[in-house]
Amino acid sequence: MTSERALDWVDGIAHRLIHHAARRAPDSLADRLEEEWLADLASQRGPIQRLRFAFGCCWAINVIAHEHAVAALPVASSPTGQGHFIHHANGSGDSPFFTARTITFVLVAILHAALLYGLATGLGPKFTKIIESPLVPRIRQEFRPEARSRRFQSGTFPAP
Amino acid sequence: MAKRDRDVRMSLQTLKVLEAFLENPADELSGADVLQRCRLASGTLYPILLRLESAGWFVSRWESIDPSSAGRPRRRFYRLTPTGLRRASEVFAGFGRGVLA
Repeated sequence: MTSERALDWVDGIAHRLIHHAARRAPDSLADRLEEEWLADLASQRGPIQRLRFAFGCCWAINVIAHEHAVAALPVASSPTGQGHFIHHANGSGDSPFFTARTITFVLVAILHAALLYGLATGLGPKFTKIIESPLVPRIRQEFRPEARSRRFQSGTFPAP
Repeated sequence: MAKRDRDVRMSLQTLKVLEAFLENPADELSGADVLQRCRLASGTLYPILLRLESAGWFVSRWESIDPSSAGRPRRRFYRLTPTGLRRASEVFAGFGRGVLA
């Protein structure tokens, strides 16, 4: 019973996410995308897959809206001034083979790997050398009984 | 929003989607079908489907059911157009795969 309630709860969140995402789509696509995504959401098995699907739709709408906006922009420097539109060729900043998301993911992964490697090998000892410990150990001189007796006599050292 | 044929970005994900359709070019696939076959995230798949549709490589249509009687929303089916089939085959042939060459 509890798992059914949890599934309903996840379904509700996924539906709301998709509805919210579709509202952010261009007007000509909003209704179509919402119906299409809700139908495809129903084919997803399990709550995690459904949530993942819904979050993916939220990501997708950013890309779709961006491409739609770019495709609809008139070219200001067009010789005729009308009838020319920018076509979304390779996306802004995308390489021919990888999407911007893939490139970002790879860069973040490389950064993490480099940081971990650096800390595991070279950077760790360097940091311990640079950052000096506030507790500097000092070796005390060897205890000498005659020095102690002199202190007793002069009264600088309290008697036990 | 129609795009020129040559403006389609050939990312690895786009190639995966095209490969799924090229397995049986006459088949119609919904987004959920393609997700299952290609193991792509929905955030990656749907922009690709829309991009290929606006470029004329795909056509799409609604499933012919009554949502109220079926108890679920209609699915949207995508299919390769003759242009899409030709261009996709050329792309794969260019990679040395020769899927439908």
